[in-house]
Amino acid sequence: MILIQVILSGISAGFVYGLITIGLSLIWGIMDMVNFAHASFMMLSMYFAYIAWENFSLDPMISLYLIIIIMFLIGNFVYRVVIKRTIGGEVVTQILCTFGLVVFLENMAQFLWSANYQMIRDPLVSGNIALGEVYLQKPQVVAAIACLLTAGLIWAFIHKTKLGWALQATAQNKQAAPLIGINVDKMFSLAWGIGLASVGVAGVFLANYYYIFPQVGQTFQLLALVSVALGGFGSIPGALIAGLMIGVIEALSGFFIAPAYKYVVVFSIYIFVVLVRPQGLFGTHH
Amino acid sequence: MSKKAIFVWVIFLSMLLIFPFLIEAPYIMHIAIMIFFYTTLGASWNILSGYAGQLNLGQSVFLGVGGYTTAILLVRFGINPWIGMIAGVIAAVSLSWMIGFPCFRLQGRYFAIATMAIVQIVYLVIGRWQFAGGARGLSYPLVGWGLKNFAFREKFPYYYIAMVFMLIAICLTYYIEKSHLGYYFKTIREDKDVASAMGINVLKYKMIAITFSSFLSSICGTFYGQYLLFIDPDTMFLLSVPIMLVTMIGGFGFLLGPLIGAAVLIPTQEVARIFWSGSGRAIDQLIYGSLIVIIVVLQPRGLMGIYDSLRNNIIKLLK
Amino acid sequence: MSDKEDFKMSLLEVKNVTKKFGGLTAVNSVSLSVNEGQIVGLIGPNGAGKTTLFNCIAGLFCPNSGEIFFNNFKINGKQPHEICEKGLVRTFQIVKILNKLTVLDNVIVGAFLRSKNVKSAKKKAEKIIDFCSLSHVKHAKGSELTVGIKKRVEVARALATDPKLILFDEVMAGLNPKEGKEAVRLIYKIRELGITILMVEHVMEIIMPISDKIVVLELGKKIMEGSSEEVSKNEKVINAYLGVKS
Repeated sequence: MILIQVILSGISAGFVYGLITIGLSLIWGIMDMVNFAHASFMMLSMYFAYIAWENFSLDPMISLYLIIIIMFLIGNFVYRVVIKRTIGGEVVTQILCTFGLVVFLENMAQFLWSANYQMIRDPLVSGNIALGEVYLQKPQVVAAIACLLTAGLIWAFIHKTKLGWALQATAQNKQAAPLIGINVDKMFSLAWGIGLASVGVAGVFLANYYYIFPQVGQTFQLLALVSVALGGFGSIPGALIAGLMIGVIEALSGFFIAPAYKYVVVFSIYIFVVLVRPQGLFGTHH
Repeated sequence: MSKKAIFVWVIFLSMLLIFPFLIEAPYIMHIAIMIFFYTTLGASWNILSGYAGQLNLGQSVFLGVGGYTTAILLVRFGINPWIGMIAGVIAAVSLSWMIGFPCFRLQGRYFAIATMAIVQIVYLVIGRWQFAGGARGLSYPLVGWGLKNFAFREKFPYYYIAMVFMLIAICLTYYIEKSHLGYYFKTIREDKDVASAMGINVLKYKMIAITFSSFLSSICGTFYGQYLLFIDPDTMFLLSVPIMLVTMIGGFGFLLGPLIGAAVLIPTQEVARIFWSGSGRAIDQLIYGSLIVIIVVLQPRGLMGIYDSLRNNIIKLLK
Repeated sequence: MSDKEDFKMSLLEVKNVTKKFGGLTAVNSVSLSVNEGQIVGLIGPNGAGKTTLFNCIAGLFCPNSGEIFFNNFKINGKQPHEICEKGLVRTFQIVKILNKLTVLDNVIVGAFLRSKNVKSAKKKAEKIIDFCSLSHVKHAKGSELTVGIKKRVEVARALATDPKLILFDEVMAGLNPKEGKEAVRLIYKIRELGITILMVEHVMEIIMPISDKIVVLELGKKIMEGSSEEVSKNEKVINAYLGVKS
């Protein structure tokens, strides 16, 4: 019974990881760039939710919609002001740039809101759900469902709309895309917008039950990177499944070995996967 | 080296040698020691990531392994720290080979991520390892003072040791610059297909780079432990960012980059801390982060890069 | 001498090399041999598999089957740097020189293969730069050069490795007629040094007159081998190129 509980909690965490992975994989696939600051932006959205709750008494479920818009705009802004300048340069520069953003965001958060661990108390979504003998926490379940829904929305956008199709085209061939009338710069900006908006969704739902502090993004980031390596990229279902796998592995490792070692297992898996099967479990060779 | 350059270095070295006799304030000595320390660390990162282009986002792992090996040998087995330093080098270099051999065939960004994962793994494992002090770390026993024990009451012996380490790092980097290693590293960095086509065994040279890199970081780890007479995971494994920052501000891939970066950053950090960190709001950290982004975006080659561009432009103008 | 050649293994011996990518057979059981001192041309319409064959010889790809011998060493399956060490060097179809380094430094990198001493490598590089008529751009950075000069730098760099055989991958592409003539002159000069040349080319007016032997590929298979005269008159070859102006 406890085992089922553990697995289920791993799955619900996995959906959150999956959504984070999707955003990361989107930017990576379309721009050929790793956003090391992805989860740090999620941290930002968590703080937004917290501020809305603390200062304006807005429940995260209400502030969610405004935060999504804000995160989308921040994505565009960051792309235009910072990221754009590193395109076409060395890979090292790009990596260091988003890495620098991590340091900047974490320290800005610490400066503005202190290093204290914050939590939203008694949000709208709270309490437990009982499934027979198994107890699930509502915030986790809601977060999982929300992330799954968002993943589905993104998938629909990418595969069923004209803009989404243009994004795919850009991802496949950045040089040829302008030849068929695609404004690559706008596509990159859109990718960053969607990427950050989606990670914002994850963040707001996480804020219902997770501690909020400046470095909260770090672990999620590494987990997402592992997840991209597992799920390959360019595949939304793949990213989701990879996220789920990571969630379950993390939960099981924590249960069977020791909570402190669960990340050791996950990161070791990254190393293993990346050495043995560089294209991930589902992805195409990059 | 030109006569002028030799002259400048001699003057510079003399000044460094005399410095402790002129200034005795321990706090200023501490800043100087930290400058030397970060220059050495920056140089170690510079060799692997700057010259050879293999971006290591977890450089601190070599610092930590070197430091912890020495610490454990001293605290648990009573082994002399100088011997511990050699053991630390062996441990760190071995780790670097274990990382490099499988991971160097990865694409740059996957290698970078792997280095992040590795430092996390080591950090987490050591944090739980009670024999190594766990999360609380280890306090060094007072075996005795003096060079033999690598522990001093005053600051100036540490100053000279750190200076020697820094000089080793600079000389090593200089040797690389001037020898075929430098050319090979730069070739590998820019295009490894070209490197292979020129008969360069890319893996071999990457391994050479990471060997130098881990060696220098490791001796710094030993030094740091002996300087603080204390070691814990946070102190040893979380320094990757300042190491990178120091090199990037000064000049990524340049001989003097780490030195200039450290000379600029460390005093600035101290000043910022004195004036602004009272509130615990870490504005100095904020400046750190902003600096990385600004530098990378505007002038990835750092201060040396600015100097280099200026010099080239002036030469062009004069032609 | 000519009787002996039949029994002596040629400098480069490609035996029934096949290379597949998934379902596509890019090179289909191709054999060819290049004797020391020859200039051999490899031609064929687009998609014939010329560059893939080159990449197999140079070690970038491992053939699915077949063998490649260079100077009596088996080189299929070896890594590019090992093959270069043995004396077989290649240039790239899309010119790859190091843009951040000067021309001199580019060539020095090649020279280091035989001697790790900086002074002697530099001397050797300067001699080769002279030989290739690149002295005027010796200190220019790679990024500042035109395509024609870049290609010559690549050749100089290849020469610095003291090769026995050079693989030229479309070294003429993108050159204007004047540059083309200079390139041909350089190729003859290289041959005079005793270096063997195997070149892929599309520009017929250039490759036909200078080659001792032409090998023609079409769709991964060798369809003809012979002198330029024989090849230019061969019906199969003409059909392969039908519609493609040479």
